[in-house]
Amino acid sequence: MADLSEIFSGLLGTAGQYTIGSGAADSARASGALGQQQLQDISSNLSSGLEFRPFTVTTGTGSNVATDATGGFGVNLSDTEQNIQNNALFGANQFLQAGQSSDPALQAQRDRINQLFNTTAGQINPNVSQTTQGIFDQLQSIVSPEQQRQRLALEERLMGQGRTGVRTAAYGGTPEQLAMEKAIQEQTSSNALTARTQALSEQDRLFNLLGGAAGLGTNLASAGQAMQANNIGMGGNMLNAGYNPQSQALQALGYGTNLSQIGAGLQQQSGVTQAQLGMGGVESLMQGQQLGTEWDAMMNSAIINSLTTQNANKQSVGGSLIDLVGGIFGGDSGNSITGLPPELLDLLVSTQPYGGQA
Amino acid sequence: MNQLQNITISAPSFSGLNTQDSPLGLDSTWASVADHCVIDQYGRIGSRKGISQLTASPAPLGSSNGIVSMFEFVDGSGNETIFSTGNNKIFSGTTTLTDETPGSYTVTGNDWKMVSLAGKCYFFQRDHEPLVYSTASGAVEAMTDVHGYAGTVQEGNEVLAAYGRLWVADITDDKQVVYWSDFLNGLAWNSGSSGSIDLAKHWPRGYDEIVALAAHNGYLIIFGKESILMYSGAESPSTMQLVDTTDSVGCIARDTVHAVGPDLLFLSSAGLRSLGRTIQEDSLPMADVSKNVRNELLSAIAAQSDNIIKAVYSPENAFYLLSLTDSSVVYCFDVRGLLENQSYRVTKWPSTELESFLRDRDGTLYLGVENGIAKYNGYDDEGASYTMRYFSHPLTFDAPANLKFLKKIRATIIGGNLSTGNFRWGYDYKENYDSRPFVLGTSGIAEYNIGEYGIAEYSVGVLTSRADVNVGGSGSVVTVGVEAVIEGSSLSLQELNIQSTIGRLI
Repeated sequence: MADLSEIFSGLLGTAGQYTIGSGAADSARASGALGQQQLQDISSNLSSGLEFRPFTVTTGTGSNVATDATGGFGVNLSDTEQNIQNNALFGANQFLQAGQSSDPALQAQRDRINQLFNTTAGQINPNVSQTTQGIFDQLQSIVSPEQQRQRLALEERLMGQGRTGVRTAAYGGTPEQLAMEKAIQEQTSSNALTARTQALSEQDRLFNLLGGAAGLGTNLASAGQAMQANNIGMGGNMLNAGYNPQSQALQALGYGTNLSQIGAGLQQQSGVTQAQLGMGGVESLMQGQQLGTEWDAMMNSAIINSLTTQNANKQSVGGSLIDLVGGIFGGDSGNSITGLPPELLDLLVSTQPYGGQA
Repeated sequence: MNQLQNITISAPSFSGLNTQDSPLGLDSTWASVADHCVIDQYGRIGSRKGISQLTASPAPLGSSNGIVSMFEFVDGSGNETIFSTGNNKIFSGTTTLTDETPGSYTVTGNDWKMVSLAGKCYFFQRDHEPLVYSTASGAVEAMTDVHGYAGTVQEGNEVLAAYGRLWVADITDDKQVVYWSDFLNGLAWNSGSSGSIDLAKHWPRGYDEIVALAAHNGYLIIFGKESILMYSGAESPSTMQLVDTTDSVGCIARDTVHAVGPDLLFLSSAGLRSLGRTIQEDSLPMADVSKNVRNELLSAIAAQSDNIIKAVYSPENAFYLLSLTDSSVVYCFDVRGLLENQSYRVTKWPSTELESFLRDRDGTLYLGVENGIAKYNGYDDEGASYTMRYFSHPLTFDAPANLKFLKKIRATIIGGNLSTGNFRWGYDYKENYDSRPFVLGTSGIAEYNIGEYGIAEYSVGVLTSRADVNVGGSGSVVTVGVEAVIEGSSLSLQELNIQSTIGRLI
């Protein structure tokens, strides 16, 4: 049977072991929560440090563009530019409206031209023979009375000569009748040729008139389209002119934004750096916490061991640990830790599981 | 005691036959009967010549009326062919009738009219395709079968060869149009200068029908039934002009139109007419040359059923014969001169059926008779005698109110060798004449070369005879006449002396 001391020592060792293990776990969890809290703090610091700061850009003409915290911006034109914009936009509206429809005067002219075109087109008979026949009939109607008179006179002469019934193989009728009919046929042929020529000439004239009317119409249409295009262009120009002050202001906003980005960049760099440093501090804290925990565990384990082995140690574990840590970092033993940066030291102090002071 | 008077009728019937005027108003130069007479060269009434048969055999004529048309065709070489028609055939020759009718050609009539143009003989008859004969072809052919035929020839009843072309008219259903052929080409009817003229608008009465055509004195004369149109410049038909028209006088028989010296004779519905040539006066003088026999002539014309009336002018005999076959009479117009009443002296050949005539270029007068072709020659009718008759009009001896007692009739007769005859007389318009025969003497008639050379007589001796007979009876007016049998010799009545006593007044 074992020695009671031994049994006590064994129980003490076991209890010590349990206590040491439990304390180390708690310390680790506390260290994680501390790290989390530290990161949250860093994040909070960074959020407040990295927030957008609204600014206003004012141009030389008096207009300004003011940004707001939400990232929006507002353009405030000067009175002059606002008037210009208003006038330009009004003009643009007028021109664009004018560009939507043709000019009434031109349209009226086009209507008249169309009327002329239609009238002329209506006068053009595609059937040249029919037109020729019409002109021929007119020409014949002009000469027909005289021909009839001549025929009648000849018939009377022939009647007086008892020759009205003469039919010959050579002439058909009498030589005089042949001569007259030949002359009439020549006249008729001439009329036919004249009618044909006149019909074609008339058709050409009408086609030329039609072409002229069509050309006029086309020109008017082109002119109308050009005018509309011009109006649209003018409207665009006016529109551009109307928006130009705003563009200029916005452009100035761009310039201002670029300039503001310098500070923002610095702010961002600062935040990043701060975050990096915070992260480094947390990591150091976490490492130190981990080392401390490990040292505590070892020292407790050693105490336990020494207790269990009758080795007492009057010094607190914490003090021993600090000493131990100070010894590690080459500083003085005791409560001061030398050789560490103040921020790290603050961090380290703040991360002492036992609320130690630097 | 009544004194014997002698009435001398010199050249009895010198004025020819007159059946138209009042007998008592006529002088003794007129005859009431002049049968088978002509007016001889001395103005005496004499016997006509005989009808001397030439055709040896009438067999080709069958039972037809004989020769209805005749024509003498002389070609460019002077060859003569006598064409005749009858029995629906066309013959050539005179003594022998040679049938020249084209094969497979149907003839339904004989009233052909034949003309000659440019060496060809053309035959036209109503509703018959014209026929053509030429010496080259030697045969009568239908015109459409002749090489060179062109166009459409009209089947006219009248054709005239004049002014270098054929003129055709009187077409069934087309009686107002005259067609003419090309110049010197009777075969071309649709080419050259051929043509036609419709006269419908130029008849004086508005309508007429062409019956005959004639070329006379440089004019184309178109005879309608009731009017006449005269065209000048027919040498160029297309420009010929109407120069005169005649209304109410036309021609009723195609073959009666003949130029007689300066005149143109034609038979109108009112008798035989003469168209004078006095065109210079721009008139158309006409005379009714048959007025002395007008009524009886018109009666004979009216009796003619087929209007086929033939006529001929014989310059040698100085007469114009007009034959009316249905009346079997031939009127003989002496054309030596006009009487005071502008008529021709007329004699009549009764009981003589002359179907047609032809006077050829040597003056021979051919007669178309029942048995063929005869010649106006000699003084017998195919060997038979015929009787020449002359009767005066009733004579009053310038004492119409006194009785006349004829005592003697004495005639001086030329010719009539051994002829027999009768003196006839009657009183008071009665035609039951008393008669006393006479016989003419004879004399040595010198004839030369008869039988020796076989040619015609050079001359005939002139026999002058005086015949007289005692006559009796009485009456207020006296008609005397002479009937002489002509049998081989001519006879002319030179003078007629009538001795009479003038009695009391009645």
